[in-house]
Amino acid sequence: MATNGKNEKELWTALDRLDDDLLDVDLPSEVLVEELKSLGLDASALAKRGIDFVERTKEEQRLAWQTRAKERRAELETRASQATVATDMDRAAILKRLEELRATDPVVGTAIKMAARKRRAEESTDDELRSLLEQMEALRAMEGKGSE
Amino acid sequence: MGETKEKMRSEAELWGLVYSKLVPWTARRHRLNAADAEEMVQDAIKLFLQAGGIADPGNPRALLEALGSRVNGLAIDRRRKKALRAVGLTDDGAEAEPTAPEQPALRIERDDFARKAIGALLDRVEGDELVFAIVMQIADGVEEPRDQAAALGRNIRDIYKARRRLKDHADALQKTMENW
Repeated sequence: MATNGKNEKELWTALDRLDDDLLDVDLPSEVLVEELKSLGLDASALAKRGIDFVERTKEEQRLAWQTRAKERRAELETRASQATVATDMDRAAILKRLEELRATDPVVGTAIKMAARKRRAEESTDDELRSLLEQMEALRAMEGKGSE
Repeated sequence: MGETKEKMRSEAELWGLVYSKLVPWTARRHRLNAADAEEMVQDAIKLFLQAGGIADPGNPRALLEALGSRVNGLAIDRRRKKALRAVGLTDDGAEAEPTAPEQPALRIERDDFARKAIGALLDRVEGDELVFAIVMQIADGVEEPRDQAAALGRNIRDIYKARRRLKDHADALQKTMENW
């Protein structure tokens, strides 16, 4: 048990800390109930409000994550839908653009190489090549890169 | 499944207990009415949960300390904002000095005020033997309720109750001191 005499100012400051008793886990519940009564609060109603609040807040935070994910998905879908391949592009222009992306774009370049390994360009129809280019442009748009 | 349910139940109990302690503590410590104190506690809990805080039913003290610390931060912020709002304009249109922010605690800076305050407090509690004895214990540096119970040969419940009475006296005195 430590003892060190306090002057009046220190004693007054120490009295201020008496409210910390309310956070003390050893505080008898009847003392807490009395304190709550003096504030016009009912102990069990307050505890229930606390439990409900925490439950509600956790649920809101869980839903907020879902909402953010949905918003992000919608944003990506919008970007992807804005990526277009001009209808007047012929086979040569499509192949040129695919080659350009393969050589310069690290995101879609690998995907184009893999597609070419599965099915060579000369074996693909114009529609297949157009579809591949549309997918690559959509992927680039989702990455935040517009078609050039 | 049963274990999860058991844990959930005790975590809910923990939150009920912590909430019931934090609201009166916030009201007393930061001189707020019950509604404002509860709102501040809710803000603190939100921040705690947003930061990924975990409530461990086996360690209520840790949760109380974490949330108490957040409440203190919010209270300081609230007082700072109030002080800023209190900056008004003087009659000639210049910016006036901010008015004193609300005080969170029983702060006494001047020695003569402190002597007068303690003298007045001892007069107030003279008739309550246990409260008087607790003031003397605190003055001697014996501040923990358990140590005071041992030193005074009283049960811990009586000590806690007497400490609340003592704080009520100090708070009441603080109000009268505003006119000193």
